[in-house]
Amino acid sequence: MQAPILISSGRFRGVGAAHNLNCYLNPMAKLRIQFENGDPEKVIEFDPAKAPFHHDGKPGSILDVMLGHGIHLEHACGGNCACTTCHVIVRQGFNKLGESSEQEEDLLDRAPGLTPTSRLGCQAVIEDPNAEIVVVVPRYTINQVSEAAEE
Amino acid sequence: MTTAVPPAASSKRTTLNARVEKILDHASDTRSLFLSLTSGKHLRFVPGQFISITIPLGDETRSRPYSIASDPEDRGPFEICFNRVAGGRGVAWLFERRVGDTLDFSGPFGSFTLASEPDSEEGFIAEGTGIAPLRPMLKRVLAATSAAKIHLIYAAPDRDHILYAGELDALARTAPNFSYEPVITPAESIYDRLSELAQARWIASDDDRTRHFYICGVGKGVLRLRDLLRGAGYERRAVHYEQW
Repeated sequence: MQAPILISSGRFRGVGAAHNLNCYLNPMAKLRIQFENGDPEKVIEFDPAKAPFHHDGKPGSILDVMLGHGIHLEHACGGNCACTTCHVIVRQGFNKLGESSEQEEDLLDRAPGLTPTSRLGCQAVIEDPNAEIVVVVPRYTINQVSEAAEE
Repeated sequence: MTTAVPPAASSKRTTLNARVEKILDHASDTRSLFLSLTSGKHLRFVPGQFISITIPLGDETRSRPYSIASDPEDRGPFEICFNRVAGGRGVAWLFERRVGDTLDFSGPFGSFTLASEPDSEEGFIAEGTGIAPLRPMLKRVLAATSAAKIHLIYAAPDRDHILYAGELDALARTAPNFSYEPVITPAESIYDRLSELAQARWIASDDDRTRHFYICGVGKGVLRLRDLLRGAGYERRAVHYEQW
């Protein structure tokens, strides 16, 4: 199994004792991303207070954090809670995420592969600097016909 | 709740390329582009879906969604419809496209589509360019049934911004189960007016709560309409909406 790729941002991390002290004084949230398609796991360490990291999705959302750290997550509607292409399954830390809206729940109703811990990446905000979130990016999207979009 | 996992599709974006075949200005700030795939093939989509257009902005690109306003049964170019918005750099780029230009997009995407063949009245509510996804949905539902009543309430600040007015008038004359109510009202009160009309027609008039609704427009007013209808007793899953 490949080691996860660590991506860190926000501030100098330091090494050894300095690193440990820095983590204690300035905790960093951790977002671990696993891919159903077999891509290597990635881990992002970030400071939620620094959001937004990108321009799509709610500031501090899983989508915002991923895009801002160079990791692609589909977001066909531009991260505006109008589709389900940024669907992720939360494996750890579901209760650490900001609450979902009725609009997000309505969209998730129609997401393929829905699970009890599904969220839209563009809406699920990580605010807790101590949060350790693990998500899975499904292999598929609601792009129902793109594989045969031309005929 | 867990649903069956559909056949695996690639998580990588499939980019298609389209050429601008025709430009139609509905009003000074509202335009349609008619697009055809440069591959020469025909785009398959479901009424109500959108495409995600790749828009170059400086050194980066952004993806922005545009509903398909045309009918998938039409074999010619497909149509997207949009209007200028203050600070909207993506739409400004689209306004600069000329006939013969090409653009990249992915999709179609979206689950704002017809639920099933109607067995009771269906209400459609649109504001401005929100008619775009509803237009092919209306055509599809009217082709599928001549029994269920289909009513459209469509609001805009002036007559120029009631898009496809001639077509909708013609449809109301020829399809006996279709009726259409254009509403001209100031932009700031559009959702107040739509809420009043929805209240009068579908809530206060009777106790029937079997209807389905499809709502599309810009802003939180769409959510107000959703909440009004659901709060009046309509099933959550019978009130479909797309908020831009």
